[in-house]
Amino acid sequence: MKNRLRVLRAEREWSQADLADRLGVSRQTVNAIETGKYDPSLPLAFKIARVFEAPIEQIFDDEQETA
Amino acid sequence: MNSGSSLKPPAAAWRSLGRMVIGAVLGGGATLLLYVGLRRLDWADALALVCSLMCLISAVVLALASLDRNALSRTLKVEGEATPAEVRGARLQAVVLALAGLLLIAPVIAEVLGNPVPLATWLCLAALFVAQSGYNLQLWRKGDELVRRVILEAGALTFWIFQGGLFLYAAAERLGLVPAATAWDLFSAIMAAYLLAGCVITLRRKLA
Repeated sequence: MKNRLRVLRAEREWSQADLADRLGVSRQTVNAIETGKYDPSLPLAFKIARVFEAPIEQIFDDEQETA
Repeated sequence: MNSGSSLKPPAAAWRSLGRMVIGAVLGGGATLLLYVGLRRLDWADALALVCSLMCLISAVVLALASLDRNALSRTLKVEGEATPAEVRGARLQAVVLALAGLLLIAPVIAEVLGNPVPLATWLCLAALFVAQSGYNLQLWRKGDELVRRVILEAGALTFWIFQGGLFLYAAAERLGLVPAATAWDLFSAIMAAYLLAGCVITLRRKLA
């Protein structure tokens, strides 16, 4: 699943550590989500949406990547 | 053309040299142990030796990385220096790996030494196992959802690999094609499957 986490984080000038602290997860987890290696649980996805004050569908995109 | 290494500060060069020496010692020691072990041990003990070396070498690498915050952040693939919490986490993981390595190899070593005090050896192993399980539980409790997902996926993949292999072996055993397996044979096999599954899951998520 694609996401705009890195862009949203950059817009706010937050480091991975800043976002990890806000979400209560490790920086490895933030990095894994940003690079698409890990899809967060539903509770964490809602938390991400609250932190960025945006609907989930504006952060995560479940469309398959086109070749 | 000027190479990058000529611009490397002396401290970084010494660290690189130190890592190379440690790598050479670990690699050389492991190769020697494997050479001797694989020639003299049966397949289950040899498998336990290989798994034990993997655990012990990983523990040493992780423990050394935890001494240098930049090296640890590179290992964890995160930006900047590793935080104190990440250092503590890495050291806890190193302890778990080291204890797992000891648990795997200790019974083999005891047997090679002639098994002089079996009950005392078993009691020591049981105490070591309780300690290792406690540290493992700490890893689970302190880990976030990614850590727990990796542990769960590794467990599920292990079951899938092991039950398939066990079925095929059990069927062959019933048909008289292979000798009966011992509890130690099965334990070695399941630990090898767990290490394999852990490597696959970690690499798939690019966590190492």
